[in-house]
Amino acid sequence: MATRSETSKSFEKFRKNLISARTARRIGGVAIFVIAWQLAADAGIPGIENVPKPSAWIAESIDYVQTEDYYLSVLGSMRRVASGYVIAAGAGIPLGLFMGLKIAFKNWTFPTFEILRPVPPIAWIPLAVIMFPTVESSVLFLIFIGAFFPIVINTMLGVLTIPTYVAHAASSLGARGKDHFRHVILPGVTPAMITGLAIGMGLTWDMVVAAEMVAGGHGLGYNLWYSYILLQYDRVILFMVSVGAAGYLYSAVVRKMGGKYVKWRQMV
Amino acid sequence: MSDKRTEADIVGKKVEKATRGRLECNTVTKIYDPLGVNVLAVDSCDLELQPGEFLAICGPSGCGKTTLLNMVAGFDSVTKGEIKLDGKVIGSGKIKKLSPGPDRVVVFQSGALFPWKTLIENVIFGPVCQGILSKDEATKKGMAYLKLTGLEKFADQFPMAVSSGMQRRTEIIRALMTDPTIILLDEPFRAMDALTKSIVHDSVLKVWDLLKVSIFFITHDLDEAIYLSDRVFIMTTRPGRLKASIKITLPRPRTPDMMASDEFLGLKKQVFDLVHEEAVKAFERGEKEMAK
Amino acid sequence: MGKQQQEPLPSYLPEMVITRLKEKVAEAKRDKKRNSIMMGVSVLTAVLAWWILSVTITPNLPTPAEWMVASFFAVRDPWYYNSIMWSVARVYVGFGLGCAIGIPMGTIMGWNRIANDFGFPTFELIRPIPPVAWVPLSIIITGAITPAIIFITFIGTWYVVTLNSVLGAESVNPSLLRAAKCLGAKPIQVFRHVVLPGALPAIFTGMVLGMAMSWITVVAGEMIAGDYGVGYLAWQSYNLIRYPEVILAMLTIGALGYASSMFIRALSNKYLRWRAVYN
Repeated sequence: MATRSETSKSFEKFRKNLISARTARRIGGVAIFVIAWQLAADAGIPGIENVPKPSAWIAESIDYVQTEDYYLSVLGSMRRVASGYVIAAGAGIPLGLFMGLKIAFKNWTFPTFEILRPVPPIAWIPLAVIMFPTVESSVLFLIFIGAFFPIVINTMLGVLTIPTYVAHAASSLGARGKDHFRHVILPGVTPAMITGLAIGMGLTWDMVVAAEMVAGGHGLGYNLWYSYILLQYDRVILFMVSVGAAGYLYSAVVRKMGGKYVKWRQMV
Repeated sequence: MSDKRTEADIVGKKVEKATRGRLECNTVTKIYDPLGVNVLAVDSCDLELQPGEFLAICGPSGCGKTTLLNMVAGFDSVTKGEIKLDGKVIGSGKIKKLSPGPDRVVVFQSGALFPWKTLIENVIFGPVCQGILSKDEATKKGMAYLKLTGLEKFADQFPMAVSSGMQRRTEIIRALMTDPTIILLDEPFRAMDALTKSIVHDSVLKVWDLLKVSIFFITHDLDEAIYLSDRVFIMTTRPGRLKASIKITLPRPRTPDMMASDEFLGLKKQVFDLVHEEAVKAFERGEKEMAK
Repeated sequence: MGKQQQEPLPSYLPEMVITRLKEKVAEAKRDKKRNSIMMGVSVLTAVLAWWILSVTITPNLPTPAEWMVASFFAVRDPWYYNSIMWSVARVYVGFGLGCAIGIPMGTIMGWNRIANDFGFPTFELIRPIPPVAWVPLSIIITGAITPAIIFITFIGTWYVVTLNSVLGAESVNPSLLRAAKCLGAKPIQVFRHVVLPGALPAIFTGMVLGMAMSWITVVAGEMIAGDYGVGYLAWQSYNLIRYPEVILAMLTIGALGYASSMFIRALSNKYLRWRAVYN
């Protein structure tokens, strides 16, 4: 019964949102942007004159997205980001937990983190190319570096900011070491960990694009740069948009999966 | 205090008899319409507040007290009926444009001092914004008012650095600075401990006695309702309408020891019975709603 | 910290509070000493790990000693300072532009629903595109390298500063907005006295992130398309097989980025004094 009224309510909400002044204004805003772009290109405003017009761009892009080249480059970058990110999460979460739980370990390792953290991940590019034997492994390492630091630091801070009274409550109810970890630490650290995972994901796409542009071989970043060299400006914009869409998709997946584990928080 | 000046001297003003601040609500109704599901929040509520009267409004949670206050303040539109302040219509079914203004200032439930302004900067905000007083004049007036409630030493502190009691006193002074016809208090003493509350109560009574401004006071706390007000207005559970209006006959000035008098306890019993009846109804309905 | 002790504590504080404050200062001193020792130990461990790496699995990596020697000469080279100047100038111009445009844009979109409807969806459409991916297009638009690098630095800052300003303005307690209206404030006064200061903490968060982002983008821009700057220095040193200088450039970028974010934090402490009074 409750679910039915929920559904009808959310449907009502959806309907109201769909047909409203707000939706019209939102669509209007995007339309103004596209029209302004077209007009600026038509008018030959210096700078914009070289940028493809939306009308021509759409026609060109529809053809190009159907080619195999395009798919391979999209899939190539997506695979690289996924693997680098999974490695970063797999290494970063346990490390962050350990740093949060063992203060001596934290005191020992954290200062080094603090020294390396301000170094923008992009600045690792030449060093990565030096250290790793293949292009593929150095690109993976760079993606790893982009995601690793936020994941570790947020996980660690998440452990450190679990309120002591929760731990005390668990102890007074008879929880021991293992129970603490399972029922207090893990759920308590999840929100911060997911924040770290989301921030980390944000940087991976910057990393993959920069790494592929500089050291590439293939992938979206490489093709983005190559299209520029070959004066195929339509494709430059197409690849930019593709990077944005892929990055958005990945972030949405992280948020969605993360949201599942922190349902209890949304009640507050 | 070293000086022997009276409170009226400090502020430089004492109102002998209130002439303004008559609030009339005639069959005021509010229907919320979220997603096409009509919710009747306030149902043809009638109420009249005499100039300079201190009116307390009690009722169970969710009975529409705050909705009524928001309509008077001009934060919410009125669905049906009419609200008049000193004969001027400030809200009715016909007025769609909301117009909150300095003639009816609200003191909010959770406190609404600007945390980035010091106490004195908060206090002078109203008159300076409206361009009524220059910054210097406003500061002078503000300091006098702060002095009245013993806050002059803290004038240059930020709100977060002072206690909740001081924050609330400052907020009431900030409201008074714009020379309002009526002050709307939206459960402002809710999250306070009993001792702090009693101090703030006395400050409120002091300034009210001095300036004779009408006060529309929403509260859950029956003790403070009876202790402060001239009349307690009890609302039914949703949809809110008038259940009873009880005149508080305690003499003025009020002193804390009155709270133990037989008269006070008798009034409290009377008010409690009325409110409790409504609270039980609201509670039962709440459980039913949760079970659905 | 020492300076704080000399200042007389406000007289209205009870004795107990004063004792507690003094204890806290002493505690902070002890912590500081312990932290500096741990820092030394930590750095030594890291250097040891680096040395082991460089002589075992990654022979291309210079050893710490080689690095020290090479850096000693490199930092005497005027070219090194020239590079720093270029990067700093590009970062600050791009960052300044990003803030100058992003802060008003964001606060207005966070405050006014109609502005939000018109602007925010477009912003959200553009935002997922990483600033680095703008490099080719910004060269196409500006036609020269320095303006192109400044442009992407601007984009990197603008994204985060705008977003945080929107969130900041949206997060302003609605009671404060109502209170201001009640007290007779006109819309422009509400914006100046309530929305802007209320959004300021979030704006500063955005500026710290924006500063980090502008260093990321400037380095990327200089590596990919650069002619001068520390990012170019790093990439050029790699091409010339001067590997120790690659590491020097990296650490220099880190230090510059760190100093820049300290600068923003100092600014924020100055303007957010009202929040610090708690402690």
